[in-house]
Parts: sequence; structure tokens; C-alpha cells
Amino acid sequence: MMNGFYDFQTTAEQLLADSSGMMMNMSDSEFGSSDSSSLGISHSHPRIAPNLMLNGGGGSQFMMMGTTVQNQTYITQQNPGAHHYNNNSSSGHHHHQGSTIKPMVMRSGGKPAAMAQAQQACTMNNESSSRHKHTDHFLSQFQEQMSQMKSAMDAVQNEILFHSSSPATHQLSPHTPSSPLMVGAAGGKPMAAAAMAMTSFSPSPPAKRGPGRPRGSGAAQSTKSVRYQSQISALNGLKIRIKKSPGQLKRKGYKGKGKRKKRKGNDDEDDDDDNSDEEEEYRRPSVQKSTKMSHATTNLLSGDGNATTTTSQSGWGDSLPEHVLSKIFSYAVKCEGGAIPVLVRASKVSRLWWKTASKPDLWTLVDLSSPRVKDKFKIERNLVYFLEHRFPRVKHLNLAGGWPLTNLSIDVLIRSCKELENIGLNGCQKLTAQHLKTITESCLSLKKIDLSAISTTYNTKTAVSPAAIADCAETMGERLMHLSLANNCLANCPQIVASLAEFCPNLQVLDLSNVTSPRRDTIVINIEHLQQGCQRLKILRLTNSDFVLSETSLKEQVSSPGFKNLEELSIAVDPKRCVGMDEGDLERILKQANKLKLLDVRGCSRIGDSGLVSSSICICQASSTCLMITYTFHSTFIHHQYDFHITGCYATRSSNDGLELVSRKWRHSFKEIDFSWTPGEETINCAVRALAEADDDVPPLRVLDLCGSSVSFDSVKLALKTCIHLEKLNLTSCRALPRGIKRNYQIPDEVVTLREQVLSGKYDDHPDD
Amino acid sequence: MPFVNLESSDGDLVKVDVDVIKCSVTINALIEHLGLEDDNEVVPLQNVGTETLHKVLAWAKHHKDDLPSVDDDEDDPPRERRTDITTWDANFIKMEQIQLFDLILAANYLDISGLLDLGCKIVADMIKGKTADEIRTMFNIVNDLTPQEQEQIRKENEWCEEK
Repeated sequence: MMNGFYDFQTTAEQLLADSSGMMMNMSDSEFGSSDSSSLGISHSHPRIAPNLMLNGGGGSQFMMMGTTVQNQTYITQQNPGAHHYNNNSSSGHHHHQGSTIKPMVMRSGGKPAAMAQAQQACTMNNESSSRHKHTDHFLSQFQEQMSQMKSAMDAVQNEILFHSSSPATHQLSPHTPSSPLMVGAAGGKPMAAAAMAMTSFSPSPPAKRGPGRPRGSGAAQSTKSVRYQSQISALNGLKIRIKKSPGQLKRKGYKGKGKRKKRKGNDDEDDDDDNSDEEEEYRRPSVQKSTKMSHATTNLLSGDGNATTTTSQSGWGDSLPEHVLSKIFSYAVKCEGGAIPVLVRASKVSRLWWKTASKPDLWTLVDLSSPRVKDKFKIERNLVYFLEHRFPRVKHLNLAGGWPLTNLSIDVLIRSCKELENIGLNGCQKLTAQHLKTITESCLSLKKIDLSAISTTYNTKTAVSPAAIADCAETMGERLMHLSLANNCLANCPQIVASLAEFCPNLQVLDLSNVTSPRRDTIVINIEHLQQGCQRLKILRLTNSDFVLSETSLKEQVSSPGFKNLEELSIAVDPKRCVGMDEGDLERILKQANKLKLLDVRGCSRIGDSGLVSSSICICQASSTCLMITYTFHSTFIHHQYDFHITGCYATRSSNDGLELVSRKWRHSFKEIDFSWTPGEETINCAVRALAEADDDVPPLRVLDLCGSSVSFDSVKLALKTCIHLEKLNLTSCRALPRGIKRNYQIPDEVVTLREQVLSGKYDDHPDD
Repeated sequence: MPFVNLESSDGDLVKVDVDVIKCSVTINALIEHLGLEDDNEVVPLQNVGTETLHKVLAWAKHHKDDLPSVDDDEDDPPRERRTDITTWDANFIKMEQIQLFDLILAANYLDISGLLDLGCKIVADMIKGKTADEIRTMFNIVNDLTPQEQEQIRKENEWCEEK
């Protein structure tokens, strides 16, 4: 499981990489409000910026911060509560419960093939294929199979009735001897059944009417929030994404009828549009396959006589076998990362598509926190309806964003969603300990649970009370793989960690970012205990939470197995708020962590440059599989091997050495370096020279960002000369460079031209300005 | 018995190496059950046109040495799935939607799961991010829903309607 790729997100507070400290928007009082904090991503961090993915349009949540302070990288969240569960877990394996059709054999004399009722079909088949040897033996076997499926076919006929009673035109295609429509058409009057298919159908439940417009529903307004996703991929290196999502709701009370009235008016308009579209659709002739189709239609409908044909339908519309369409939809759900909106859209295409898209089998990955889901529909009645009728097969369900989790809806949830594996309850502030207990006890497939932003104040009844979490850990035990408790006020966190260590050996992701204690004091955790208990832990996020490690005996430290599978560790803190862990703590957590790919220690003032460099080098050397080390020291951000970022480096003597040391140490593996906004001429020049030093090997460097630094022309010249693989070079705002050169060179050709010009001495005569 | 003769719905005969077509569960079953010992035996394929049959065989030939596909890793992130289409397959599948339709039906009919998966993935990719109208236009689908049904669908889905 999970080898290779992670896609997870963290509510980890993005850190302000600033010499003067970090800016966090972590305060609980702001939680849930739309204007909780400013948000910005400094332009000086191109590694992050290009990977931003904004989900939803309008009102962009991040902005460039025009700051007076140099060297700043802001990424803050509008709403720290936003947590999202679009986890790595796949879902929606192709379920074709509705109909599985497997042609078993074909043998025919070239007559039109149609499905007949079992006995008759077999007889017919017997005749038509009698010229073949061995056929009889085969057919006798086949007959058995056919009689077995007869009952299934009876069920299908009910469905067919449902079909044929509808006045719409319908055509059949010759391509699908196994399609349910064909079965229906041929059911009463068997045709020469030459090609046989073994079919088993179970009719999909008749479509029910929607819950309708809720009466007097509260119009809640969602506040958008930004969520931070960090991805580790062996292939792609580190990606950081910022997505907007409806995080928490700000309830603005109930809106009066005026709004509804308006909405009603809109609906009417929509209806008109729909109708005109539809008329147009009816008029539009489909050229495709019309000859073939009408032939088949005549053939097949001759026995039925009810349906009339006025327009010809493309095969995609009604004759694709349902299980094939299901398969298509299941892939579409997978590649869109959820059933919304793809299945909703598909259901409007044609009747077959509607029927197929309504199958619960396809609704395995549902993100009800999607901004498409209108807040005013987030009422108990709708949720209950969805859970009962749409999502009985759901595996991944995200209920973040204000869905009302009442006793009734929880009850329906546990009754109908038996296959639930992953539930996102981010921001469900009304979730009680009892609810959590009910869910964990009843959903036996549950592996991942997101309890972020449940409670921002201490409360014994909440689902994140120590007793409730301990209970959850004990109940789920080996099943629990992901647990997020981010953005909560957690009382007795040590007890929570202890119970996880005790009961959950398969825990892979533990997110304790932005966690506070009721008294806002430092939380002491016993990491050795956790290492003993949760040896499969891959991701540990303690971002912006004031954690320290408990004092443990040397013996205990020595005997701890460490986190052998740890791939991501974040202990970044806001240095204004707390001091964070020290080097000793880091070493204790990272004991045996040979698979570490991402380490975030921004703001940890007690972790010194040299100490970190040396300990990181130790990690690197210890591990042949270590693909990437990301760390920051005094807001320096480094990705080893895949990327290398130093953004807003704080100019101290020691970091001066550190930057050069880091450059020199890994110059053979850096592909991307971000030195933007590095103050201090000496620092940046030493670092660039260290990178570009003439050596036997050509540095693999491809992207170099020197934006806003005081790098000298000579250093740039050296870098251009040596780093021949350079594809992108950012020289904007480099005050020490001559005029005309201070641009952002985005494509390889531009860099090549620049190199030629620089090396030919074009800029040599110009004095620095 | 190294070869089998397949007859397309257009009446053309194609001689195929059994090793190539073994990916088709249907034909495999046929061969097993009926024991086509004679090289001159003809297997008529009702629902597969000559052009499509050649396409299927081209795919089958390229994939004849493929190992049986392993089930997808549970924890692969959904959006990465698209990448598991190889370049060869991606080029192979570049065709008109009509041909693609025939190919998918043929793959379904012959029960060639690899090819069916490929076709379905491509179609899934095509419908991704498109509205119902766009999908109908793309596939020439006639909206056969009655106004009543449309109203019902609209009601069912009004909780996450398009803007």
C-alpha cells in the first residue's frame, strides 16, 4: 500500500519565512470566520506559486503581499479550519453490480443476433449451430446457465416495462446483443438467437424523486479557505498546492423568502432554457449509424410494436451496454477525483446515461464539501436522502463544510453506508463523542478519519475530547490508518498519543497540526512510545503546534525502533509563539527514518544551521533512498536532489556559511534552486559560485532563481558558463546587475541567448547601476 | 492449433494466431468448448466489422505478451490513473468517436478486458469536465429524456447544479 505516491494535504499552517519571524493565522477566535487572516504568497517563492491550484473561481484567496520587509514568503490560510480529505486512497473500483454481461460464445449462421428467453433461445441456437460438432455438448452446459439466469431476466423485464412505458422514443442498436433493451425487446418474441451472451441483471432501483427544494432552509454562506497540499512523489518531487475550498461555514442565520423567490424565478428561466435545448435536441438528426440503426430497430421492434422511431440515436446514447457505461463512469469518477460533478452531468445526457449514473455503485467517492454543493441544500433531510439513496456504496465521503450531522443522519449513515472507508468530518463542530463512537463502532471498513477543526475550545462532549479519541483508537485499533486532529483544541494530548501508540499499529498518517491545549501551554509527547506503537507511520505533522518531546531515559531512546517508514515530518513552528523542538528532539524523531523525503523545520530557532546541515547530511548519507530533504533554517527552504530552495534567506554569518555549504554539498544533485531575496552580497555570491564552480561534472541545475538578490554580474556569468543545462533563470530585481539583463528568462532559448550575449561580453562594459 | 479464422460481420475472413487472440475470453471459451481442431473452421463474429476487427487484432498483437494486469493499488491517488495509458495505447486509440464506439463494443463482445479498459478510460477522459450538452454534441447523442424526466433529474440534482 501506498508505495510511491502520496497525495495528502495538510492544514499545516504555511509559514512565513521571514527573518523577523512568522505570521500565523492560527488564532482560534478567527476560526470559522471569513476574514480570519490575510493571505499571501510571496512572489519570491516560485516553487510554490506555479503549483498553486485554485479550486473554484473568483475571489482569489491569495495575493501578493507588497511588503516593506524583504525576504518574506507568506503563505497563510484564510481559514485554518479547512481540511480536506481528498486523500490518496483510491476508490470506486469498478462495480458493475447492475449488470454484468459476458458473452460466452458465439456461433451463428449470420442471422441477426438477439437475446431470447432461455429455453427458446437455446432451442434456436441449437438449430442454427447444429452444423458444428461439439456444439450440442456445449449447449447443454449453456442451457443450464441460461436457466439459472432466467430469474434474473424476469427482473430485467420489470425494468423494461419501466422503459417502454415512457413515451420517449427509443432505438436499439445491433451492436449490443446483451443490452438490457434488447433483452426486453426480444423477450416476448424470440428471434434467432445465434450469438449468446450470459447476462445477469439486477435492476437498478427506480429513480426516485429528489428531495425537492428544502423549505425554509438556512442559507449558510461558506467562507472559502485555502488548503495546503503537499505532495511527495518519487517522480515529481515536492508539490505544494493551495486549493480553495469551502472550509467552514459562517452561519448568517436564515434568509427570508426573498432569496427563495428570486431563486424560483431563476429556476423558471432555467426550465425554459432546458426546454428549448431539448426541442433543439429532438430536432437535431443524428447522422451516425442511422442506416444500421434503423435496420436493427425494425428488426427488434417488430415484435414489440410499442415504440416508435422518430429520431435516430447515436449508439453512445442508448445502446452502450450498461456495464460498459458504468465502467466509463467509474473511470471518470476516478480521474475527476469524485462523483461530483461528473455523474451529475452525465445523468442529464440521456435516459441510459441517467439510469447508469444513478447507480449507487458509482457513487463511491463523494466530496460533499465541494463548492458545487450549495450551502442551502445542506440540511438534514437532503443528507439523509443522499445517504440512503445515492451513497449506499460510498467508500470515501467528505462531509466537511457544514453538513448537519444530527443523530438521525449519523444513524442513517451507519445503516446505509456499510462500505465507508474514509470519512471527512472536518469542521463538523456539532459532532459529539457519542457520534464518533457510533461511527467507529458501526462502520467496520473505516480506515481514515478526519476530525480536523471539530472543536476550538475545550469541551468534554466533543468528538475530539481525549476520552472520545482514546475510545476511537481502541475501537478502530488496527483499522485506523489516517487520523487528522488538526486545528483542534485538544485536551490531554499526551493521552491521545499514548492511546494511538497502544492501539493503532497501522497508523500511517497522523496530523496534529495547529493543535492547542486548553491552557495554551506546551504539549509534551512521548515519541518513543509512539515509535514503538505506530511503526508504520509515514507522515507526522506537528506543524505550528507547540510540541516538545518528553524526557525519556536513554535506555528507552536507544531501544526505540524509530519511525522506519517516516516520509514526511513537519515540526515547523511560529518562532514568535514558541521555540519549537531542538536538535536533540529532531534526532529522536528521525531515528532510523531512512525513507524521509520531506522535513520541515521552519521557525525552529533551536535547530541551528550547522547542526541541521550536519544532521541532514547524516540523514542523506544514511539513506540511499532519501530522495528529497526539505528543510529550512532561518527560513531557508531546501529540497535536496530534486529541488533546492532557499527563499528569503536570513543573512547571518552562520547562514552565510550554511548556504554556501549546502550549495557546495549538493551541487551535483540540485536541479532547481531558489535563492530569491537573499540579502547580503557575500552570501549569495559565495553560494552561486559554490554551485557553479568548475568541476569535472556539469551541474544538473535547470532552474535558478536569483530574484531580488544582490548577486554580482560575475557570479551570474560564471553560473551561465558552467550550468549549461540551465533552462530558467530569474534575474529580476537583482540590483547589482547591469541594465537590460534583469529579466525573468522563462524558456531555454532565452537562457541560451542570454548566455551567448553575456559570454560574448555584451554587458561587460556597462558599470553596475 | 495455431490459427483460427475469424469472420467479421462484413463477411471478411481474417486468419489469426490463436496466441494473439487469446486475450479474448469469448474466443478462448469458444475454442475450448468447441475444440476447433480444423484450421478451416470459421468463427463468425456477428458484431465486429472488418475495420474494427483489424483494430482489435492490432491491439491484441501488441499486447499479446502482456502480463495479466494486476489490480490497481488501493492507494493510488485517483487523478493519477490517467497516466497508466502507455504511449502506444494512446496513439492506438486516437480515432473517431464512431470507431471508438465500435471498438469498445467489440472489446466488450469479445471480452478483452484490457482493450475495454483502455476504451473506457479514453471515453472517461473525453467526458471529463464537460457539461451534458457538450457530451451530447461530442457523441451525437439525442436527448431522449422527456421533459418530465428532465425535470425529475433537475430536481434530483439541484443541490449541485451548474451555475
